[in-house]
Amino acid sequence: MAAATREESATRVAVRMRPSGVWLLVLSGLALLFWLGSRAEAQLALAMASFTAVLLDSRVAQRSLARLSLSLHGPTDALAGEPVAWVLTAHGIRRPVTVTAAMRPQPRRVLVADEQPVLVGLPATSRGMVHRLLLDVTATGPLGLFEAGRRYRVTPVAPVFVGPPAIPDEPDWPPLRAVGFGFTETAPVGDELFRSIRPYIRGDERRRIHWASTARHGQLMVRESDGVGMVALQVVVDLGPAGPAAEWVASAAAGVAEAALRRGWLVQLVTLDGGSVEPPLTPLGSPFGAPPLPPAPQPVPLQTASTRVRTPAMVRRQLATAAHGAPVPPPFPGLVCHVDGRGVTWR
Amino acid sequence: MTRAVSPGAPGPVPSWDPTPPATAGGLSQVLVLMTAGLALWLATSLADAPHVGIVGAAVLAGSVALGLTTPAHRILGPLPGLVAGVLAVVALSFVSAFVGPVVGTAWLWVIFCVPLVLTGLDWQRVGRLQAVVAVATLVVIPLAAAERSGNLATVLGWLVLAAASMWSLEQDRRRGEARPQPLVPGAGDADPNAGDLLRTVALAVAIGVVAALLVSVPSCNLPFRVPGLHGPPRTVAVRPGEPGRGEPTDGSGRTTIVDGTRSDGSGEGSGQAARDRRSGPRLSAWWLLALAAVAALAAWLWWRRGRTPPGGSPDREWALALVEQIDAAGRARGRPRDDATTVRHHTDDLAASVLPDERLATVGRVLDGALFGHAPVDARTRLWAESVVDEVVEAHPAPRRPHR
Repeated sequence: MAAATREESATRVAVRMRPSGVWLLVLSGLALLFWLGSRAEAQLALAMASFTAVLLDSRVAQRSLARLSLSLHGPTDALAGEPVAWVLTAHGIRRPVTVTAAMRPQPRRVLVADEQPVLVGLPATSRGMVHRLLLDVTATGPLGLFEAGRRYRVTPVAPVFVGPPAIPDEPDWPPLRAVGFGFTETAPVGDELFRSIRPYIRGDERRRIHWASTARHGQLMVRESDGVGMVALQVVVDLGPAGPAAEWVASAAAGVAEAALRRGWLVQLVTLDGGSVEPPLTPLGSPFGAPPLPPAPQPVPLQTASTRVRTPAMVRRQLATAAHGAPVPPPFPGLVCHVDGRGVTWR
Repeated sequence: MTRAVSPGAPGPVPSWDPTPPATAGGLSQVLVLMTAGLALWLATSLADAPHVGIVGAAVLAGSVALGLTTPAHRILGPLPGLVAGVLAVVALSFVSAFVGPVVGTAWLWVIFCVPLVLTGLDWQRVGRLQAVVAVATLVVIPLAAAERSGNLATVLGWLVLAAASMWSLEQDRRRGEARPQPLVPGAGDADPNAGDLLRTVALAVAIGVVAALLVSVPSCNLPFRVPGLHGPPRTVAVRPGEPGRGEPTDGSGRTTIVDGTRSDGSGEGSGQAARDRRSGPRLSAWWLLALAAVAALAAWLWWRRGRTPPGGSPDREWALALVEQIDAAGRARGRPRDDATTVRHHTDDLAASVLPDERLATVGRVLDGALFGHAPVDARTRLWAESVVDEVVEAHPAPRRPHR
C-alpha cells in the first residue's frame, strides 16, 4: 500500500555562483576597465555581452526552480538501515534539476529531466517514524555559470513506519505450549494437541513412542496427535537505554515474532509505546548549507502496548514506535518470551 | 530494457560515492578547440603574424588528437594540462636566459608550442576545458581594443563561440550526473534544450552591440556632462549640406541631429568629427563609473535578496555555553583558560590535571568541531557531552577555601 505525499513547504530559491561564473564576471569587469582606457567599442561590447550573459544565466537558473513542486509516493513501512524506493514526480519543471536528500554526508544526487515519474532511492533512516522528508533541489543556467538551489520539505500523508530489520536466525524454541480448540490451554509436547495412545505399528516414528505407556502396557505404545494446534507466544520487549544495544533488542524481538508468525502461531507483542508524535517544524536553512538539526525529542506519556500481531509489517510498526523502558506485560496463558539487552529468555 | 517497479520495492540504492569528473563530449572538445584556436589567431594577427596563430592552432589540434587517441595524457598525471603549460612557459623562459642567444628564433617557437602541446593533451575533463575557455577570454579581452576592420563582429563572434562551448560543456557535466530509474519502461532522457542558450546569447550580443553603439557612435552619444567639470552645457545644431559644421544653440538642451553627424561647435568640419569617432565615446568616464557602481549595488542587492538569510548557528551557541561551563569549572580549580589556549588544549589540560577523565578530552574535540567544523552536532552527542561535563564536574569538586 503506497502513501501519496504532498509538498508542504520550501525555501526561497537561493543562487550561488560557480567558479566559471566568477571567472566570467571578473573578466567582464576587466574588459570594462580596459575599455575605460582604450574606448574600443569591441571591448565594451564584449564586457557588456559577458555581463549580460552572466545575469541571464543567473536568471534562468533561478526561474528553473521558481515554480517547481515535488510529489513523492512511497511505502508506508520501511526497514531501518535499508534504503527506500520512492516515486518522485517533479511538476512545473523547466530545465533538468538534480535532487538529493538533505543530510550529511549527502548522497549522490540524481538528475530529473522531465515530469515523468522516476524511482529514486533515498537513504536509510534509523528506527522510528518518518514524518517529513527534506530534499535539496538544484538547477543550473544554460551556460552553467550559476547554480540555483531550493530545499523542499515533503510531508507524507501517512507517516512512514521504520521498523527494525528482523534477525533471521531461528530461535531456540523451548517446549511449546499450545492454545486451541477451546478445550485445553496447554499441550504436552510441541505445537500438536494430544489425542490418544495406541499400540505401535510398523512404520511409526521412533520419536512418537510413549515410553511411560509402553512400560505400563508391556508393549510399544505410540502417541497420537490431532494435528497442529495454536501455539500462543507473548514477546515482551525491553529496549533498555538508547543505543546500539536497544536496536539489537528490537531486531531480536522482530526476529522471534516473525519466526513465530511463519509457524502460524498466535503472537502478542508487548512494548512500551511512545506513539507517533509529529516533531515540531524547524527552519529549513539554506539549500547549499548544512541540513537542519532534528528537533529535540518531546516528552510523551508512555504506555504499554500489547497487541496481537498478524503480519511482519505489524511487528515492524509496533517496534518502530517502541520506546526505551520496560513494559508491564498482561497475563498470558501461552509461552512468554522476554527480549532485552541480555538476550532472549523464555518463561 | 527497463522493468517497471513499484514504490517500496527494492529499487535504486543511493550512493555516497562522489560524482566523478565529467568527461567532455566530442562536440564540446571541438567547440573549445575552435574557441582557443580563434583566440590564438586573434592574438597573433594583431602582431601581424597570423601564420603563427595558425601554426599554434594546428599544434593544439594535433596534441588534442594525440591526447584523445593515445594514453599520452597520462604523462601529466593529476596535473591539469593548462597548469602544466603555464609552468612550462615559466621554466622555458628561465632556460632561455641561458640558451636563448644560442638557438635564436627556434627557441621562441619552443616556448610557444610546448605549452600548447601540454594543454592539448589534457582535453577530456569538463572542468579543465572550462578553464581553457576562461584563459582564452583573458587573451581576447585586451585584443578587442585593436583597431581593425570587423573587429566588433570578430569579437562578438568569438563570444558566441565561447558561449556555445560553455553550454556544451554544461550539457556534458549534466550528462555525468546519476540518473534515476524511470518508472515507466521506455521513458528516456529529454533532449537538451538549446532555446535557453539561443535566447541568452542573442540577448547578450544584442546588449553588447547596443551598448557599443550607444557610447561609441557619435550620433548616439548622449549629452552627459558632469556639472562643473566641463563648463555650461552646450548643444549644437548641424545643418544639412554642411556635414560636421554647425552652430551652437542657446543651451536649451535640444540637439538637432542632421545627416547622422554631430559637431561639437568648434567650427571645424568633418575632419574633426572623424577624429571624434576615433577618439572614442564622449560619455564621461565618471558617469560610466557611477553607472557601474549603481549597477553593482543593484546586483548586490538583488543577489542578497535571492539568498536565504543565514540562520543562527545553534551548534556554536550550544558549544560556547558548554565551553563557558568548562572554563568556569577550570577556573574554580585554579586552571583558567587563557585567550591563546584552544578549547581542545584546555580540555586536554583539565583531563590531565584537575578533572581527570578521558571523556573530557573527547568533549573538547566535539566542541572544537561544533565551533569550527561544518558537520552539525546531533542531539544525542549534545546530551552526551553535557552529561559528561556535569558528571566530571560533580565527581571532582573544587577545593574549598580554607577557613581563617
